Amino acid sequence: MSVSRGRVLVMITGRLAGSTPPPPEAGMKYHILSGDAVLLGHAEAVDEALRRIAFPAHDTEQTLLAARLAAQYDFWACGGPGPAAMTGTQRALPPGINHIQLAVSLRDSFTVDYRPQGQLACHRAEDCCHAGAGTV
Amino acid sequence: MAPALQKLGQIDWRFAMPFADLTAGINFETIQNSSLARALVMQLAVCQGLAETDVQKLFGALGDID
Repeated sequence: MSVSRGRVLVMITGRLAGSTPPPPEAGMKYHILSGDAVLLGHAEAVDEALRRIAFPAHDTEQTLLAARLAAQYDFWACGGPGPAAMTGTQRALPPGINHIQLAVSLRDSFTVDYRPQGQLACHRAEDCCHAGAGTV
Repeated sequence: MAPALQKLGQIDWRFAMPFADLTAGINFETIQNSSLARALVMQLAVCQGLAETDVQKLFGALGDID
């Protein structure tokens, strides 16, 4: 899922064959990409995504980070003030910290990885301004 | 899934907004299979007045979604 300027774009993957999505609300649309992938969201966002799929550009820091988090965690969010507001830490961010990365894994144990950071991508823990991770 | 959407067996995230305010992902299958996550969701749902059977149906419906 990605959100930008109030527009939402969601990709759902899984066993979707035989499922009939409900009619979209006004301004929203969905596009069935295959038997196991559907794009849905604001109509303009879905149309733009279809163009990106047809003519893929180079990976950005954000798409690389998304792929890495998706491979490692079961729930994750990263970006600007959105995730910060979600975790209730937006007002507490120190100067220079403008992005938040929150990831939760439930596979072998309950692991939370929370990283406020001064730049978008944080590929190694030592690159982060602050890093916190806990396992139960 | 269309080839353009996959890269090394995973979702090709280039479909996403390149400069999004927020990018997020949820693996419903893993969450469904986690007893801890199920217990947490069940507890939250019951506190909100939902019946356990309805929550079980929800888990069943989400189980096929990644």
